[in-house]
Amino acid sequence: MKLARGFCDLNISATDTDLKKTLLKALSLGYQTLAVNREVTDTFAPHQKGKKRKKDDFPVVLPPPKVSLTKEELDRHGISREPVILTRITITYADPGSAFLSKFRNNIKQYDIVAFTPTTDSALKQTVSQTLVDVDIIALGPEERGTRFARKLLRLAVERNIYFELSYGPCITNSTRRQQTITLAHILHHSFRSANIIITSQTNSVLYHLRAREGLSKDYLCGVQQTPNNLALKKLPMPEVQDCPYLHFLEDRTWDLLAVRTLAWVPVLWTSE
Amino acid sequence: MVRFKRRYLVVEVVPESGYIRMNTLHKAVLEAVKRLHGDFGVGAVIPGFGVKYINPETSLAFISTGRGPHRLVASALPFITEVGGRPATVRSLHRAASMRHGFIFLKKYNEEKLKQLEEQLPPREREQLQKEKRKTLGAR
Repeated sequence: MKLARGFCDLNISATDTDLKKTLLKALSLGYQTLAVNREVTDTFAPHQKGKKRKKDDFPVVLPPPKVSLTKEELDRHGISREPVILTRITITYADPGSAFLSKFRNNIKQYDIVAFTPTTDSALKQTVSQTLVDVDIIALGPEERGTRFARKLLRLAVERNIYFELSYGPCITNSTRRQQTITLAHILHHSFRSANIIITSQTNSVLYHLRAREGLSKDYLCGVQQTPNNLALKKLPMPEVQDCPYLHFLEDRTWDLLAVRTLAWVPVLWTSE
Repeated sequence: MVRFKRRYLVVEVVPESGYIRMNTLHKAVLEAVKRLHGDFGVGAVIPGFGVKYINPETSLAFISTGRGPHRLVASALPFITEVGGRPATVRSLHRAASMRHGFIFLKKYNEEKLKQLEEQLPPREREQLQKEKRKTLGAR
């Protein structure tokens, strides 16, 4: 089991051709734990229920990509700390009755982090309550479903230790995405006081990857307030990140800052620079 | 448990001509918020935002927003110069915590307005109006 260390970015989109380059760039920006994301979309919509699904209608779930970085490559980019590279799969689906999850359960379990993007209310309900696959992250997309999410379901997800993701990458270039991300941040804050939220890059361009120590600016972007003594990070379900030393360090300190409880920026606060 | 609290802004929308519609007012307010507070303002205001009620005769409307972002909306209202392509001004009258309180204020406001208009009428017409009022509302 790989344990997370240092600054984390749990959503790096990279094609298989430039994966190494993107990872080395992210590591040189100060991150130590990265999760390479693979996206899978189940396009079968609920209104097509009457139709029988053929074998080809199911999307293909490839096994996790294997990346190895040699010491020479790390030294060339000035990376002194040993990186932790995790694999992540993000499944976008709309139909809860789809056999996709049970069909590809074994392939999905090979990934370190499993994320879901449900595009309908029924899919969100199934994501939160199903037991076929352990869900770590729910990446809600307001552009797909508008701003109405069932608060009960969001709270149930928090009780089951599922985390919600806010991505800053698309916000940098697109004004509409920026507004939608801020709206989502506010909805999550209203629903459960932003208890289980992580901020990730979701960028496949090295140009838009923020430095690890620019974490505070991501939080002001989301504008969600934090109370000092309620850190949700201690309750992270993912074994890979539970023993991150920075989490324990935070418990002793009290501070007052406008921020979101996140995994990525937490270590920023305790840097003495 | 976190409760989503709202604030209802009672506003008077005075167009140069014609009537204002709910969707045009909705768009105009969001544009003003975007101009003043940017993408953050729009993102913060959208949850819970809506034009809940509009009276085309009296030009009064209710705008609902979440508590907190209601300040952004309230600060943007004076900067609205156009609604639906037509010049208009928006004036905030009251901030209520519920629609019911908003309507209580509206009732008092309308009664005061009616009183002011009555006083401006010549005596004969004033008497006629009071007769009609007694007929409609019953003796008070």
